Parts: sequence; structure tokens; C-alpha cells
Amino acid sequence: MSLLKGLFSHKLNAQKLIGNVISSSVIASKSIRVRPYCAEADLEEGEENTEATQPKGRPEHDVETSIKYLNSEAYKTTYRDAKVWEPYRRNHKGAFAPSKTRKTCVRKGVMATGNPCPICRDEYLVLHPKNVKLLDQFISPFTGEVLSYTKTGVCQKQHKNLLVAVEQAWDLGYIKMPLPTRLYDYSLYKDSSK
Amino acid sequence: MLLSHLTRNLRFNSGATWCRKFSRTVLALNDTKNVSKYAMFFDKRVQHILTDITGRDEEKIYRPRYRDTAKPTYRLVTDKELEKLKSDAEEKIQKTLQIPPVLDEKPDVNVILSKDEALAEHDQFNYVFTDISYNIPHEKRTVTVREKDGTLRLATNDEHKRMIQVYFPGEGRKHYMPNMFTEKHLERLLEEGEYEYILDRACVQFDPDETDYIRVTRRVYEYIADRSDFMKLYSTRHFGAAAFFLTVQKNIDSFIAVLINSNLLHSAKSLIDVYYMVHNQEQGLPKEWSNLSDEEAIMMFAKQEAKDGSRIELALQVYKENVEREMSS
Repeated sequence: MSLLKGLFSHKLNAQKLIGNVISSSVIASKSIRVRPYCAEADLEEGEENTEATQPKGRPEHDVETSIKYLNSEAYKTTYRDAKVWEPYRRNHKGAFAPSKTRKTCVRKGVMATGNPCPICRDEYLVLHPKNVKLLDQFISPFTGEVLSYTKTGVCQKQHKNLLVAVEQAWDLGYIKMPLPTRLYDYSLYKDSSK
Repeated sequence: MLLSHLTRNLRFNSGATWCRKFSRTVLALNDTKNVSKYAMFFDKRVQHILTDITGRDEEKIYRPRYRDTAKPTYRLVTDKELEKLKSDAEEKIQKTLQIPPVLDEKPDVNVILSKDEALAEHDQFNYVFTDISYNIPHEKRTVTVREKDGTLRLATNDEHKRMIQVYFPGEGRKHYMPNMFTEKHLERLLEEGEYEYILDRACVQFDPDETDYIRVTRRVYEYIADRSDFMKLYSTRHFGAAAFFLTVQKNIDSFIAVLINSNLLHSAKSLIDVYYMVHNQEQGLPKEWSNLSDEEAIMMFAKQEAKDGSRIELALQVYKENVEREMSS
């Protein structure tokens, strides 16, 4: 904790801090890695920060923060032009990956794996129908359907959340749904309208 | 009201055809009282004009859509094969550009087929019987309800639609009305300009004579008319439908102005033809109409019939000035 405090001793506002924390974690380990939760990031300057007041486990963020993050400089430097899941590589024993991804990356509010899935590893990615920029990355541009977890590597729990969020986004019209072309038989309506 | 969802599949034989004939005659009787102007939609001349003004912006029609996942293939073909391929492509275009019918709201069905008092209190629920045999269009499928008090009646429009959804769930159609068609979200989508998507989804979700379909499409057409945003629908199947709806509503001034601005004078004149066909059914077209040039005809319409004639005249004037400038340069 003291080390982190030392890192961020200079005064920064919360937005800048988000950027710094994420880009520093990228520099530290080349590929994108899970980042230890930094309680200071969410607190205002000068607020007292004792061990007792700190929440344990992973913090949860709302959609507005997530949407702001996806439009931020921090996001760009982290993922560059790639989709969120593109630089992710599953790690597994042997040459072939298991047919399903792991059940969940987070157990009892704590990261339970060293290689969390693309959504679990970045706490600012929130699956929500309004978060169109994030959901679009998981939808095929050719079929308009949700990509399989074998391609994206998302854990089963987050994949389920993803399916729910996309369905809600289709329902509310935030994302366009693939639709068939309906053909009409005019003779059916001609009779009744005359 | 339908109190339960308890359903039984029964195959009517002679009964089914009788019910269908009966329901059709009842509907026909209701409609002969006031012949709707929307019936003109099926008139051959009107159909021809509406498909004609739709436009053929090939980049727009052939743009990649979801589901068209087949990769392009390249091969050498004979002239005969090439003709066949071209005609196939033409057929496909005609299907994608088929105009969704613009109709009046379907009148609610209230037909009692029989009252069997012996069956009163036969059960705690209503029974719904649906004819699920093959080769019947869903619009003509017989659905009947046996009420608790023993009356047998035809299902209401709402019950009918729900039963069809149970046995024949259409692709892309939900068993509930998607929230994007509620007022709040519909207005948001309209502001974003997603007219084509709203209309496409409304076509899939609703039947063309359903209350919700008419509510949604009317709102979209009127919104477009307010903003003169018609060219977003150009070369889609909804262009003709919007034109016909606004013609019946006598609200085509902005449409004609937009057509003139886009150098589509002949389309504008054809649309005025439709206007006279719909509203002056007895008198027909004005005198010497066919001898008039496009500009003269539009001018005549602006002076005689249009609500906001000055708008059309202004558009026409701008068009003339542009033509003169091109001629001189």
C-alpha cells in the first residue's frame, strides 16, 4: 500500500489517475494484466484513508464511468485500435484449448485466476445495454450475432452477462438486430380492405 | 378476455372452412360501409407509380446487410447464364423493395358462433382452439375460444396474434412488443435518424393492419415529413409506403419539395397523379393533365390543391435557376 501511495503522491484528479494506473500496469507487464485494486483512485484528495474504511475485493463501477472510460485517452493507450478481446490469449495445458472457457474469473469478490478473461481483467468494462461501444466489439459485423466465447475467450459468467446485455440492447434499440426481409402476400389484405 | 393460456390443438375439417368463410364475410360487411382511401394502395396504377418512384440507388440496395454472409465468387459464364444471373438478381431486388401494405386498422372481431348452455361451468378456464394445419396463411387461420359460460366465439385480434406466435413463432418476432416501440425510445431513435431500422423491425414484429404497426409507422412518416428527411428512405421499400401514407393524409407538400430539390421532377408529378387518384376518384385527373409538362403540372398542383403551395413554388424556382445556370456555364 505504501508503495502505491508513493507512486501517486503527486496530486492528480480522479480521471487522470485512472489513465495513469492502467497505462502503468501495461508498461509493467507488456500484455494487459489484472491490476490490484487501488483504493486511493476512488477517494477524493485529502480524505482520510484508513485500513478499516477500505472496501475489500473488486470495486464495481457504473455504466456512465465505463462509457467515459471507453472514450478516454487511457482506454486508447491500453488497447490501441484492437478490440477488447483481441490481444487476449487463453492459457491452457497442451496444444488444444478446452472447449469451454472457465466458469468464472472472480470468486467471492476476489480475482481467482492469474489470467482473467478480457472483461474480468479490466474492472472499467461494464456490460450494460447502454454501453454500445463495448457490446459492439462482441458482435459479428457479418451476421450481427454475438461472437462465441471460443473466439473471444470471455469466461462463462461474463458471456452470460454479455448475452443478456445484448438482448436488452436489441430490445431498446441501442444495437441493430439482424432482421429477415418480410414478404407480403397482397391478396390477403386486398380482400379485407375492399 | 382470455383468462387462461390453456390450449388444445384440434383439427377442424368442415368446421374450419365454415369459420373462415364466416369471418371473411363479417369483415367484408363491416368495410363496405365506408370504403377506405387506403384501399387504393392495391390499385395497379398506384402500385406501378409507387414502385417507380422508389428509386434504384444500387449502392444502397446492394450494400452488405447482416445475414448476407456468402462470399463473392468469380467465374466465367456464358451469355445465357449471365442473363439468368441478372434476372435472379432483379427478382431479389423486387423482393427487398416490395412495399409493405399501407392499410386501415383491422376492425375487432366479435363473432359468437354458438351458445351451448349445457357446457356452462364445464371448466375453470377458457379453451382456445387453433387450426394448425398446413398451407393456410396465418391471417386466415381459425382460432376460436370456448368461454366458461359455454359460448363459442372467434378469437379477438390480440388472442389470434398470440396463438399464431405460440405455434408459428416468426423469425425475429418477439412474443412481447419490443421496448424500442414505446414512445420514449421511439423518439430517441427518431432523433438519431434510424428510420429504416425502425420500419424494418416494425414490419417483422407486427402485421400491417395491427394497431401498433400503424401507430409506429405513422409516427415515423410524420416525423420525416416535419424534417423533410425523405431521401434517407430513398431506394428502400419504405419510400413508396411513406409517399402513399402522406398522400392519403394530404401532407405531401414537403415530399414534393424534396423530390424537386433532388431533381426528381417526374417522380413528383407521378406522386401528384396518385394524389388525384386517391382524392378525386369520381372526377379523375384534371383536364389536359397528360399534356402538361412536369413543371407545369407541379405548378398547377401547388396553386390548386397544396396546403403550402409557396414551398413547392420556391423549390421549383430554385430548380429552374439551377438549370439556367448549368445551361449558361
